[in-house]
Amino acid sequence: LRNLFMRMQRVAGTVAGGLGKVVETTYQGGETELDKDLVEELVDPLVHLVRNAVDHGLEPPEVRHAAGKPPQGRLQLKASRLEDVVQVEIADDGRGLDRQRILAKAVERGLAEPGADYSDEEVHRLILAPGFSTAAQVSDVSGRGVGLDVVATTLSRLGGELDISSRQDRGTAFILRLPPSRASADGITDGVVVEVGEESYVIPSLNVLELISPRGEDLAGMAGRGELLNVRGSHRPLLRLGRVLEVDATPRLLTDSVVVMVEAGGRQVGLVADSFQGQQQVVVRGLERRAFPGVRVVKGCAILGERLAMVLDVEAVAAAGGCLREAA
Amino acid sequence: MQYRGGASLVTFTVGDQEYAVNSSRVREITGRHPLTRVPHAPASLPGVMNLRGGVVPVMDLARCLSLQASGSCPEQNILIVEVAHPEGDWQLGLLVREVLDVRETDSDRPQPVPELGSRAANFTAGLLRTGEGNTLRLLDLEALVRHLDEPKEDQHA
Repeated sequence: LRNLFMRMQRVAGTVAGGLGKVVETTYQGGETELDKDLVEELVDPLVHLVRNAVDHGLEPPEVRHAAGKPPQGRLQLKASRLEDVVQVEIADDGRGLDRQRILAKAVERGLAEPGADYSDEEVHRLILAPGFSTAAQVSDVSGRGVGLDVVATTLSRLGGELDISSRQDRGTAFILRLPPSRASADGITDGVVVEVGEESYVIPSLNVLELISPRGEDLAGMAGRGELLNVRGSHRPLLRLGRVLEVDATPRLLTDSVVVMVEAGGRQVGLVADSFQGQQQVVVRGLERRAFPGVRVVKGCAILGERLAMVLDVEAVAAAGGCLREAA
Repeated sequence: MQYRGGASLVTFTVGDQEYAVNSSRVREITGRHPLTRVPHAPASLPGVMNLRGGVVPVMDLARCLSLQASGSCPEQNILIVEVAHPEGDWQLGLLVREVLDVRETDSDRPQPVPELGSRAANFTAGLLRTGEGNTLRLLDLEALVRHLDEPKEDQHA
């Protein structure tokens, strides 16, 4: 990433010069390695974040002086690798995100509810919303917040995510986390493997809240509403995977089954499987859509040794089971 | 026998009928692999197979062509063929009973299919004569695949 960082140093210098600001850019972790085409994809998001930091984050020298900071702003680029994640951080020591101004703007744009209680993290996330802007003055350097949403979208397309941490008058850090190569972005997923009938199915761990072995006293059936499971006082709908996936097998007693609680369409739903086989990283291949144009419940095929297992799309499963329609 | 500018065909049996595909469309021939069922897929696609780490859909030809597969002799082989598509060719496995051989035809112009109206006829591009005077049904792979786009009637019970 060294070349990329050196490029960002130059971008920061140019932008600062144009704005009458002084910036000192340092970097560490330049030896961190990332797939070449991922580095290419990162150029635009990083240029955007660097411009944004210099333009909106760092104060003009006189304001910094008045706040007791050195006149020259500091921009730090950091890269590190933690197991299967490469983390790139862009931190400035500027004014930090202005909670009040972000909230005011978000309410004005209909992105937030007036008077609601938002955590700092939620407020920070608001600036990633499409078309969001906080700069009071229009500048031609980084636009007005336009594009942060594009940065977030690019990252999620690469299988990564964007985090923001900020403290008033101390600065703002944008943290990018992404898989080290594209292959691992669409090829490996962490999943809960369950058995239904004679086949295994994978539920992406991202969707899974918990696993429950239902006890008889927690089960309830309601006319027209199907089976329900009492999870710490809330009754959650149960969907039998065997039925939704049309598996040709005798259904088990619920008390002999395992319930995988998932979140689908903002709702908690329990997917009922015969047994739990484990949680593991699986290699995933795409399902040939030209052969299966009508299949919505499958996200891809996991390779489990010689065999394959369908990776389920929990939203589509919930919709196929009638759970989402019921909610609407 | 003299070669007269015809096509090269891979011939095989489905049920008890003889069919052929152009050999340029055949990637490989393999024995039966375990199939993994794809939920909500049409019955003509019993599953997908793991071919050296790739996922290939497999079609039950006997079922597609509405031919009785006699219980005593289940379809044992899989023909991996290349299906043409505007967005790029893709691979499909065809469950067949037996792969016979590779033959040359007299002409690359198939005769029209007389038995119009039957399901099998819809997926037959034409009849071809072999050098030995046999008649072969040439499978129309794209027509076979096109029927997969038709909506399934009982999508969700």
